[in-house]
Amino acid sequence: MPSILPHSIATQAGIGLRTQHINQILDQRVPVPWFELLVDNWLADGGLTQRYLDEIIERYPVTLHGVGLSLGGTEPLDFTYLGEIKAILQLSGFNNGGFENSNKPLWYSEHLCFSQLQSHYSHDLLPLPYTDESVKHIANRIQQVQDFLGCQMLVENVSSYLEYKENSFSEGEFIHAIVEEADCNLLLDVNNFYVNQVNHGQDAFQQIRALPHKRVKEIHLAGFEDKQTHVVDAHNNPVADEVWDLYKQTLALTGPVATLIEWDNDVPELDILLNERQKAQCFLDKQTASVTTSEKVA
Amino acid sequence: MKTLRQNNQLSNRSLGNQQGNQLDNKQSNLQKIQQAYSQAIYQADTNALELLIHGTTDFTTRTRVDVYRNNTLGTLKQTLADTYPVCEMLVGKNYFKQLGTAYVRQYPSTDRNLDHYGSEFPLTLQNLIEQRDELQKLAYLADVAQLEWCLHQAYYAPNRTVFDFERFSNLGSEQHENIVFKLADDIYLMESPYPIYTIWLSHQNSEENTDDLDSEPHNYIMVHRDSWQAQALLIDEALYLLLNAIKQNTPLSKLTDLLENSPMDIVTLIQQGFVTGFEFK
Repeated sequence: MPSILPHSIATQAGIGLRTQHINQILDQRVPVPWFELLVDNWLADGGLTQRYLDEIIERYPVTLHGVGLSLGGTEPLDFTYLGEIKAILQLSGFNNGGFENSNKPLWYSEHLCFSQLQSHYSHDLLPLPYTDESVKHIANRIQQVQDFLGCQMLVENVSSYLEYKENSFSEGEFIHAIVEEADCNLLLDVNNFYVNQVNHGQDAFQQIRALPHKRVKEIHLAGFEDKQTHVVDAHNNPVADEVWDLYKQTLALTGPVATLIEWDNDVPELDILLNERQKAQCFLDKQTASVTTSEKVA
Repeated sequence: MKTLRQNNQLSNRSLGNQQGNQLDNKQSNLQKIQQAYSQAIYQADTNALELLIHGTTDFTTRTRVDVYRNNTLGTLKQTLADTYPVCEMLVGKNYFKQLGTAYVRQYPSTDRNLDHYGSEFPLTLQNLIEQRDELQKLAYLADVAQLEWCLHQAYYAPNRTVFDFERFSNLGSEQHENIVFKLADDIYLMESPYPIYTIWLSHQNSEENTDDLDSEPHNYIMVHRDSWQAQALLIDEALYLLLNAIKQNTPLSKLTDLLENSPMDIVTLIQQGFVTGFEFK
């Protein structure tokens, strides 16, 4: 098998793996530096889902991304569900000498939100109020998850369509406080910050500037849908020009960070997704070159 | 399916002792917000949540809350459509949306895994068939839904285990009569007074011609997973009765008559992978 694997994904752009593309990716051994798996879709007890999971992990570096934990919820954390995720985190397959964390999915990420409503589920990412109480509550739960998994996790900022009257932090300050309190890493979704800028009139770059940049281990990029009065984080379009601009500004703050193209609805042909990936890769390459140059000068 | 583990009970106890009232107040505040979402999404009562948030003239509090309400209800309705595609074709997209709206209102999601959503849909359809005139001519609809639910479950079922022939061959003859065979987890059985197999097959994309298929008035069907895909097979009554008895843990001593009438004996069922193990009653 030709080597399609980089030595580190920190300077690489990847794509979210979608079922429509799996056969093509496996059959043609499509060279993609890394994939992100929406872990909730990969928890089947058997069948094709499990077979594909084994094959993908065997061949490519992967990260796991969850939507079902309800990290900010008030119901007890579901350690059975987390146990299933832990089992995938411990799968050994990918084996390429010299690669950081070889043999296992690289990390697990979840959202700074809640989705469980007592005994019911929203299957959506519902925003928390930006309060000191929320910070302590979710940071405590992140620590519980990290203790259970035995590793640091990444948490992601969410898009939102409403702001609570009781908010006492800006979004950037809120996230900064959580990740420092929980001692976890950050998945920075540039598109979500842009969506919130439009929906709430906040300055997205100002929020990003307020984050602890050394903790940013992954960046998400996606397309939104314009509804005239607001925009929806629909993941059904190419990344917008405004979001590319914001991404470039973000990289200047964080340095090169593993970047993912998310496209979950109206999923296009793989080539279109790969073109978006390549665009992100160009930004990353420029940032990497710029860091290298400045290091040489110093 | 999901249960709380000890780790979490410990952490809750620890939090309650150490942080006391402050935590209780905090949690009750977050619980109040979550209650407001629950009312907005599943009871169409948006007032409580609207009172907690900002709005503008262009993007009102109601519209903001409706984004979340529509997201959840849309996700659940799409899940039903994905699980029951033939039912959707039989009643049409618009009527299926109405059915979905009624179902989602009656059955909020109670499982984080969306693959588990929609299990009560066949029963709901059965009740609606009895209540709605326009569904009288689709009396078989609930059984088609049941078939689709079986296919859905078979697709996600655990993989088969290999039958332990060595252990089986070492059993003494006195042990045989108490043997209970285990059917593969991906096998589901159903019968219907309607020719639902032909109806289902004629709505697949496969090139198989259904014109020549004998539309037996009473269908016995086995659903299983083969080559990673869930499939439905029309089987005869004797095999159906045998497989059903095995599924219900009937000991070998009471399978004699059923085995005599069945076109497949136990060895064939094992060779086919339908029977994957055994234990003693």
